[in-house]
Amino acid sequence: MSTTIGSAPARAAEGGREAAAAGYGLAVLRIVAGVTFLHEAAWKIPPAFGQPDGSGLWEWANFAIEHPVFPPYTALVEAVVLPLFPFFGWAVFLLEAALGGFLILGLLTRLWGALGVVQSLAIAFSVVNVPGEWAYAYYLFTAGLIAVTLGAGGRRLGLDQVLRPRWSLSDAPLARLALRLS
Amino acid sequence: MNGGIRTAALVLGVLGVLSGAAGFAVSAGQPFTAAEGARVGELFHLNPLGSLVSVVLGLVAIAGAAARLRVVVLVAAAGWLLAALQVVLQSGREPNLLGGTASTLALFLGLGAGLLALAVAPETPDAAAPATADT
Repeated sequence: MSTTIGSAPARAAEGGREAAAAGYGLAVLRIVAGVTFLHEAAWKIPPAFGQPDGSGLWEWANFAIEHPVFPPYTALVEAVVLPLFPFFGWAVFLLEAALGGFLILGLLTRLWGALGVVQSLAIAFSVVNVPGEWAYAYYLFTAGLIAVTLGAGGRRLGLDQVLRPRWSLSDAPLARLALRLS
Repeated sequence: MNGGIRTAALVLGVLGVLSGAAGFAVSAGQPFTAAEGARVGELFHLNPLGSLVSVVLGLVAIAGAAARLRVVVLVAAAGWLLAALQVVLQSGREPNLLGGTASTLALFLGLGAGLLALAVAPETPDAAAPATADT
């Protein structure tokens, strides 16, 4: 079978190399996003998350009201998030920790990528209008997570790459679900 | 436990050992169960006990992967997940036995969930079978 330039096997090989390169690119985005979430999780300190002295996560949550970006989100923060702040503090604590761990290792990447997009939008809607903030950092972060989610960024240099072939061998509902979420 | 599963478990075990070793380096001089662990780079926090736990669990994972014993890898996974639970229950308060923060929770949760997924994954019919090309 011919492998000369332009032949079907050569085109297939070139396509495979390009797909692999794209996969590694998404893996880099995924790992950087995961490390970012891991790094930023450290200052979410339970149990009060800064509410008593107006610092920490409480302060950042109030930015959505003091420097509004998206009015419906501001209304949500005023009406729901702040009155139930302890719940949302713990939710952010757990979510950002999980995002860090799962994205770095590339496990169930489509699920955690999608949750990361939601969290990054919540962050952006709180802080992009705060003086001194560089809004494009948040836009880029969100765009990176969208790419990781749509591109299934755990299928190179991630546990999804190792586990998907094995999940595909099982008819168990959890295995089927894991395939969809990775 | 064959091929990529074994390699991945080894990698996670090494990651755990390295995390603990780095924790020892930065937490030297801290009380053994300091409530606020030292920060490794710009990443997670560990005190000397947390560093020891990381090294031990990492070695258990490596031993399980090297010996192809899923149950040993499962023990390491359970250990990491228990350590993660400790962070949730004690972080930000005293006592905080392992000195961790939410960043440390990310490390413990990732390693625990990763090893768990590897330990319970179905075996491929042929240990030499290549991974399916859906990457």
